[in-house]
Amino acid sequence: MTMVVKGKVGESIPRVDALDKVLGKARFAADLKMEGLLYMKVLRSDRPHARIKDIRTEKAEQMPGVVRIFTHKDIPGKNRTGIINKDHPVLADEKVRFIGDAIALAVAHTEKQAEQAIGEIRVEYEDLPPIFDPQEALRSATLIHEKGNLLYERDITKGDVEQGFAESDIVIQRTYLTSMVEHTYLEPDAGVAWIDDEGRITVCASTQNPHYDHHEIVTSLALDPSQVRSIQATTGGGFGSKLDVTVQCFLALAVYYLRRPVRLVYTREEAYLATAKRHPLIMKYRTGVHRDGRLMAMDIDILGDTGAYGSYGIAVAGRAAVHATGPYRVPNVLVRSRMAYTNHPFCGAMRGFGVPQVAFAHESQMDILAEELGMDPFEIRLLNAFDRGSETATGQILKESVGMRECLRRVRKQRDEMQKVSAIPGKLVGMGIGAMWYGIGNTGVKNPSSACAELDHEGRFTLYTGAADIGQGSSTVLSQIAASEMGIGIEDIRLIRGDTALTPDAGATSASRQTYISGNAVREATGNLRKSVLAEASRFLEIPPQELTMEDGLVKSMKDGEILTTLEEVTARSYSEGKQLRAEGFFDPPTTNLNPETGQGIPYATYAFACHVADVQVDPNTGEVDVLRVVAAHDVGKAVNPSNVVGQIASGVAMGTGFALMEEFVPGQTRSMRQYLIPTVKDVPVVIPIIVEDPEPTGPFGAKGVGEPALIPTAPAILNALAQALGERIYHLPASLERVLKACRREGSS
Amino acid sequence: MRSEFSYICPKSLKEALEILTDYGKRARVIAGGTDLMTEIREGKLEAELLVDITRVPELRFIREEGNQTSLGPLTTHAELVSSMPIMRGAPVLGRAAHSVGSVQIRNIGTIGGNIVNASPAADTTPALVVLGAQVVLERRGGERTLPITDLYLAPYRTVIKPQELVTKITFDKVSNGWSSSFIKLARRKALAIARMNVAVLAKMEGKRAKEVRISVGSSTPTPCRMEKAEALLKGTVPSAAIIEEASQAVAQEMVERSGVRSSTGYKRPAVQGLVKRALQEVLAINQ
Ligand SMILES: Cc1cc2nc3c(=O)[nH]c(=O)nc-3n(C[C@H](O)[C@H](O)[C@H](O)COP(=O)(O)OP(=O)(O)OC[C@H]3O[C@@H](n4cnc5c(N)ncnc54)[C@H](O)[C@@H]3O)c2cc1C
Repeated sequence: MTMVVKGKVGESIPRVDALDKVLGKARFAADLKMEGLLYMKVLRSDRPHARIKDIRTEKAEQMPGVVRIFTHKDIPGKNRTGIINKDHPVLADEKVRFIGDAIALAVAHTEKQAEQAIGEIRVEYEDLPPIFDPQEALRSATLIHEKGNLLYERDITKGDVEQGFAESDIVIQRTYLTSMVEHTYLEPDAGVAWIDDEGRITVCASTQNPHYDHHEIVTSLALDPSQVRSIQATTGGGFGSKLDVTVQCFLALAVYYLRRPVRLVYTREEAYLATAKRHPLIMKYRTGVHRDGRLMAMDIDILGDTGAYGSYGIAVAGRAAVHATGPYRVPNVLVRSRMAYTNHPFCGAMRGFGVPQVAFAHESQMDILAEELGMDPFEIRLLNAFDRGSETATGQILKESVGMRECLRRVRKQRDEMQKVSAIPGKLVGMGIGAMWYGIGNTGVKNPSSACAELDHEGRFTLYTGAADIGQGSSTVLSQIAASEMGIGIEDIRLIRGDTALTPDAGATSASRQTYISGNAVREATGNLRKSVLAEASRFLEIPPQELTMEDGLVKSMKDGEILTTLEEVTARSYSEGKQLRAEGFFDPPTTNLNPETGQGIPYATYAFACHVADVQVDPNTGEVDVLRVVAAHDVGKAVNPSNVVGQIASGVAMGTGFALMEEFVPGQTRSMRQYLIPTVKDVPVVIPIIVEDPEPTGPFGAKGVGEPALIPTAPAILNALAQALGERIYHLPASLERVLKACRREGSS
Repeated sequence: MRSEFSYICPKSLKEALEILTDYGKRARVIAGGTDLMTEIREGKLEAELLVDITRVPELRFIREEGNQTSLGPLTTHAELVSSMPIMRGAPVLGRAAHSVGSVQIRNIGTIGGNIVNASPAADTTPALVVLGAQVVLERRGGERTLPITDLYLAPYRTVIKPQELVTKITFDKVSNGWSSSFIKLARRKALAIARMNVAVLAKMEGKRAKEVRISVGSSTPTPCRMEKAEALLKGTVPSAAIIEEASQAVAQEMVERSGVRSSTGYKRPAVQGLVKRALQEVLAINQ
């Protein structure tokens, strides 16, 4: 009897967590109820920049139901957090740097009592001049942080740009601007903390990186790592924002003193006020091209506003610089990419880390050049696109899995086969292309993942991973990789994820890295376990291990497929001899640090490639835009779960439509989803996904990543389509009603 | 912090009016709550008593009486959308109601609340203005009837007294020979407050426009008809040129009434485009 198991790599199985979510069984942090639970509220700064002279808590402490008020004075360890640079106080001490900076915590028996107590804390400030413009920040004598207002600069030099421009027939120069964007994940930040059975301070929170949270809690409380446990609750989206610590250190601090369970759930308004945003960038592009269409030189200057704190600012500046040329061969490149502090809300990671911004710029430049040259926009891209053997701006030779041209070709073919959209009277239509490349994993730094696989004495398989599934599907994909490697079915896999007491560190759910990096770690752990099982079986069966294989949960003869024994039998015999079946896996992508001056090096082991084509319709009288359809091709190496890939592409197009047309967070004005609009289903176009699989030899089963790539080419494609429709280009995102109408009227009057 | 208040749920119109008289300014009416709840969440509600009128049976009806349609203030947007009398006798109002919020908001938000909240962007208002709606206000021992345009003092301010309830909205049916249009312009295609909206009614007699009524939301300090443009169109044989002229007249009248503001750069051309589209639709003129 053979049974074919389900869930192998390449199959579109439903998400492993889908049923619990649909049935309402999944428990998000705000669902966790505990006996004797206390409630927390946070007092936040109403000043953009001020010195704190005094914080008076006496009155608040006397309020009914109040258990305790906490300020920076209560923090036993280091009062600075930050994933890359440590500049973000858990609770403000000397200064506040933006409206929303956390100053004090109130813990009470009810949420309302905690909120009332917050209202009675008195902060005495001495206002300092605020800075809201990154250019001004770099000139100003007012320092937001002691070390100065420049957070970071990343330069890249390749060839000789001036020579490149001299050899160019056409040189164009433009400036592009993007706005601050709010992630607007469905679930506002939340967490519950308590002392667990082993006496550990345990924080269960909505997060993208439980192991990093653990580290920050340990440091802020000056504890031994073994005294703290961090668990990822079921997480309702993150898009990068839940990579920073939000509620975690606050809750841990309270439990450290009170030894009782405490809960903190942000309102939507608080999530908007207090958490990271997408960096607005100012991007100056000068691009030179030979008359035959070859790119000759690019000189790019990027300045970002990181707001009050570093968060992922350094990563965004670095990644934006590396990706600034777009997926094209350019012999001469000069990039300067800087991040400045201001007194805006802090900006951090958001789906794409600066690449959605630069893609808007480099793809607009490509279309302008195509027009100047009288070339087809597909042709100019095909001519310059990376291929196997191409060299990037950082001097990396792309060896394998370079599906850029294939994406361009497939999108073009699909579009040629589809009916053209024709304008209805009074409306304008346009078509636009956006292409992108995206390095998988962190930029030129170590970013390993580890995993663990185990068979218990009854032959039950458990996979341990620290990888946070935030709705993107990593739990499913990692289970599929384990199932394929082990030769068992998806339903036979028990997954333990995101708990520092149980799971090894998988690093952040960011940078589209979990399928590639954690996938490799899982594959290695499972592969090692499989080897142990076969070695054991070989011993019992007295058949050399190389003649055995594992399939459908059975040990079979390699020669004729004869069933020799079952997993259960092997594990039972191993355990009866006191032998445990457990194996570890580890993967760190092969990269090098970038040279600090020239930016040369190998920042990523592999890249994803994609191309979107958008059709839009515009009302030239009102500025209303309909995005009609988007054809989206993505080289993902190997689609571990094709329907998951399609889901990411569709969601990326939706988010990209918002980035292109409506999303703009205005500090001080945008308070909730009332002012901040993200696309509804009516705003989202028809999406025609195309999966391209150019296998990556270092990836698990050839896989790379798609989470962020899915978003990136959408806005450039829409903006290029708008330019075609209007005969005028928009250089500032979002292309709001006002900006579109203004462009229409510029065209009309010229 | 959320506003705090007591709550009462009268079961008859009489009881509701008694409570409002007794409490005066200290009470506030709640119907669907889709406007009021945001005030409560922001801690801006000043009243100490919330009077929930949703259980008052006398306030929930859609009736056709001869040539007139009348509505209870508790009529929800969803009810307007699916009501035969509205779709037959005032399709412009049905379309306006259909553009409100989302399914959830339309299922709970009421026309009475939309009128009384007095947002310049309220979607049913321009439709009610072109329909020439009359609004009945009742208080203990008396009532008055005002044309809808007379209700408004300024954005979010009306002449309605704390003791009064809107108890009825009436308008003449516009079916035979009338055509209508409602267009909403917003930053996204659903669940968005109008950047501007326009309602147009037109009655043709042969080839001539016998009467045209235009009202534009979010453009004037209080809701009104765009009389200059209406006069331009009246009695003409509609043409692209006249529509263009009338749309310009609306834009001009908007600026005259509202003054030049930071938003005028966008709104002036956009209102013209919007009105043009609506007029083309009702007068069946293509560009
Ligand atoms: C997400 C969302 C989307 C929305 N989208 C739109 C939209 O697209 N277009 C639009 O126009 N509006 C929109 N609104 C606003 C709101 O839904 C409407 O104005 C709705 O019609 C209000 O009705 P209600 O019954 O909920 O009013 P309530 O909130 O109950 O009351 C509003 C006001 O009217 C008063 N009131 C209510 N009934 C009476 C009465 N009979 N007599 C005297 N006073 C009364 C109340 O005291 C209060 O001042 C939206 C609101 C939300 C939350």
